[in-house]
Amino acid sequence: MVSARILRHVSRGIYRTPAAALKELVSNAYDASSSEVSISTGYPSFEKMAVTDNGDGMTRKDFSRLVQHIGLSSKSAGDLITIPGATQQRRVLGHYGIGLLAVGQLAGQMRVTSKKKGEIVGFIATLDFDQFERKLIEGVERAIIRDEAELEKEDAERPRKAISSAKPADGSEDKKFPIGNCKIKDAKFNEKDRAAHFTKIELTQIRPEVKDKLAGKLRDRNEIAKKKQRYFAQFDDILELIRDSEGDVRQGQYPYERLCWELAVYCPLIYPAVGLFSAKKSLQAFSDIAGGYSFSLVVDGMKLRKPFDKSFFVAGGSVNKVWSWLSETYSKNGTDHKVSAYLIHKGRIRPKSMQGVLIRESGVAVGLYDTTYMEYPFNEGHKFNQLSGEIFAEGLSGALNIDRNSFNETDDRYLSLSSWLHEKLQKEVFPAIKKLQKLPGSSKREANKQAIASMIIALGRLIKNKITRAQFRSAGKREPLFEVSDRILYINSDHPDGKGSSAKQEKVLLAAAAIIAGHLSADKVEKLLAQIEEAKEK
Amino acid sequence: MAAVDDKMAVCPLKHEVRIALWEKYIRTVVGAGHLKRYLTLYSPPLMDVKLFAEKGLIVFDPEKQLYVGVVGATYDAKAYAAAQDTLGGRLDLLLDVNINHLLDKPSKYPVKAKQLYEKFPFDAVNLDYTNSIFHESTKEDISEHLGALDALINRQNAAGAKKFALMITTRSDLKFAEAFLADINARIDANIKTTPGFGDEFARVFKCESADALAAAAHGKFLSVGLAKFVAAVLGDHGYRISSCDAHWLIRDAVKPVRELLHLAFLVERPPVPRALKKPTDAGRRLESEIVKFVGKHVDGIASIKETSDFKILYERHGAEIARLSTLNFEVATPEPEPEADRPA
Repeated sequence: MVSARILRHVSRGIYRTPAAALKELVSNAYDASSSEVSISTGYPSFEKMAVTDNGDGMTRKDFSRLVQHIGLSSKSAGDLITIPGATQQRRVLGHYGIGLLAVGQLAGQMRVTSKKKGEIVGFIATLDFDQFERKLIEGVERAIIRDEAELEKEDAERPRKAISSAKPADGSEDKKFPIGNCKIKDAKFNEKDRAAHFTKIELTQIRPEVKDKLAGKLRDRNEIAKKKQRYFAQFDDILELIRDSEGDVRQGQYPYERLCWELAVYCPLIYPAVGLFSAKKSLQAFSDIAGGYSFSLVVDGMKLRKPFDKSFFVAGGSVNKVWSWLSETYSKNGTDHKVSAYLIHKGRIRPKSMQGVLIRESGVAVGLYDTTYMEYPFNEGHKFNQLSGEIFAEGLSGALNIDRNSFNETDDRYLSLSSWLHEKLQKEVFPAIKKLQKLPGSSKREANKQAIASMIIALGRLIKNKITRAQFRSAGKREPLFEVSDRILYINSDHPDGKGSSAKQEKVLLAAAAIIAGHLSADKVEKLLAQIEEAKEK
Repeated sequence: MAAVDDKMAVCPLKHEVRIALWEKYIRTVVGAGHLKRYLTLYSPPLMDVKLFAEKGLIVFDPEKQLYVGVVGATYDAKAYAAAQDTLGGRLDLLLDVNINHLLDKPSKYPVKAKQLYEKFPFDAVNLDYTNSIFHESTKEDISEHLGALDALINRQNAAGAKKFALMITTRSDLKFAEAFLADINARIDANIKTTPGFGDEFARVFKCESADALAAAAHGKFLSVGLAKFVAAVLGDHGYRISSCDAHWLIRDAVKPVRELLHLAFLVERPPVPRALKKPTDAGRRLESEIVKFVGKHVDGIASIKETSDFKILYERHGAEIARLSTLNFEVATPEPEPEADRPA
């Protein structure tokens, strides 16, 4: 058994955010074959939270074993499970029981009620996490972390304090588990509920730090930010907030909304029928994969889905290119694993939190979007910020760290997948982006060229010159910038000043005006331009 | 949330008021249709919203899990959390603010005020305060509830509301502010003198000829008429008239002290202004006509629901519906274990 001290330390700091800790409970529900999970956060007071699922449920024996052997699951990581009505099999994420540690980070007390299908007796378990104690601080009762030395002393005495296996008359049993105390008793249900199966986890004594963080105490200290606080009826409203006020969100002014967004990123939810994920569009296959898991999550009455809306595809420019790879394989020590992925390229990805690549194992995200692209070894500059994508991989469960929210980056499986991704990026994605940026019409320069030509024509009309057209054409680097032929003013797009640069737009227009007005010839202009460059160098 | 609110939420007497009074008045506004906008000051588990959604008076969008057009407000964080927990989805707007303060000083809450103003006009406004709307402890000239009522009607007017249902609840057994009682006393007396129709009906129904006499003989009825007159005056200030008015008394007499809750409902309309109607006195008479009818209802037309005599009947009538609605929420449905005491040894 792992020492209580280690587990205590792990449980205190295993998850970076409350969303990550809640995701852990959702992941457990997912592994338990749930198709529906609901989370009640108790917003805005966060006095209590509840996570309820319609999964397989547990027996009293299962649970008793679980609390005494944290991390030991009856299902092995990577096992396939089939959900009735789902088209996609799930792979067990494993490490079942780590969720208990997640709870330890959020709350001082947990109540679990569960029942398996076909049974009428389930159980109710109450767990107290003993690294916390209730103390009156300035007249308010608060849960604080107990002194480590005191806890270690208790650990040392633990064998002597071991509770007898004899059950009390009411059939309940008390167990000391590695990070607290647990009381389990039978719960009898009505015969009509025999078919029901569920697990309900209720959290009370929410840690003050968690409450403060989720309630946005940072915002409350900032009067302006506090005034801005508003209600979001639907998930689309939250997506809009995250996109339009990302700076405020990152500053911690909307922690609850951020929690909802993060949960939507993490969980294997369906995609909305918008943009490229809608029917017959290029990423519909990924919508089918996610929909196939048949999983839904409701937070405080708000139905979550993948964090995409119409604006994602149009804000900051339209989508330039999409790459998708379906059911490919990556190999690890001769064993093939399936991987499907897509990448979207846009001028600007908004929100910025969606720049990078999100890795999903069995549909569940491991961490948030990774802007290092699994440590891609070449610097592609701003192109990194123009991509957003997801990788649906299999066989990675063994590479997960204990928080199931990050990878062991030296694990073979992780390295094999990163090689697969890097190859795609190096051979397909970044070369294509470079080509895109050179294509006509793909850059701002092209727009500048059109603007220059339009202005020259307008100028010609204004001063009633015979030149009625202006046209860019490739004439070679050493050829002059302008050439006049009949009614057309040709501009050499190979010339250093003819490439449509914004910085040189005024210079080109001024020179063109001198030619149109008859003040200078094209040759004279060329000489002047050369002299200007020479002067600059000097 | 106060214990009394908890009790009221699942009380069959209150449910009777929801159906017999509130639903009736809302139906007069929407006919066979549904509410586009509904403002409610609620007590979790938001039975009114869930009831009206079941009856098709409020649209619930299952895809978005949204009660379309429903706006709620509370300033108690725990009640806010409980309200959110006890719904099948989200309200269109749920404000964690004292709505009286928000309406009175919108500049203090710019974003919330903007969110609320965008939802005006409402087809039904349910100010289910359940406590005194002008308690004697109120030091200001006007209570914040009544101040907010005026601001709210003003907003309804500005947003172009033509017809809406207004429901107001207050305890009538509590002591009201003396100034307010004097105000409604004066209104009633002035009405008796200036509007013969009102005076005659008042004398016929209450067997007395002054507001003082009525207040001494039947304080509840005095408050009922006085409040209706006050609301009529507020509405009149904004160009509205009462097209219909009714009340229900809910009397909790099973436990001492007895508590009386007055539920008033008004159908409010903006009257067309005929050219002939130019004198303010004519407009006043029109405004009073429904109050005269309302006075007449005090003979035997106002339902009085008593805990001691009606609880059992109403529980049989509404018990199952209350149990179903009160437990309806967005969470994954789970059965409740049997209470331990009921288990066989």
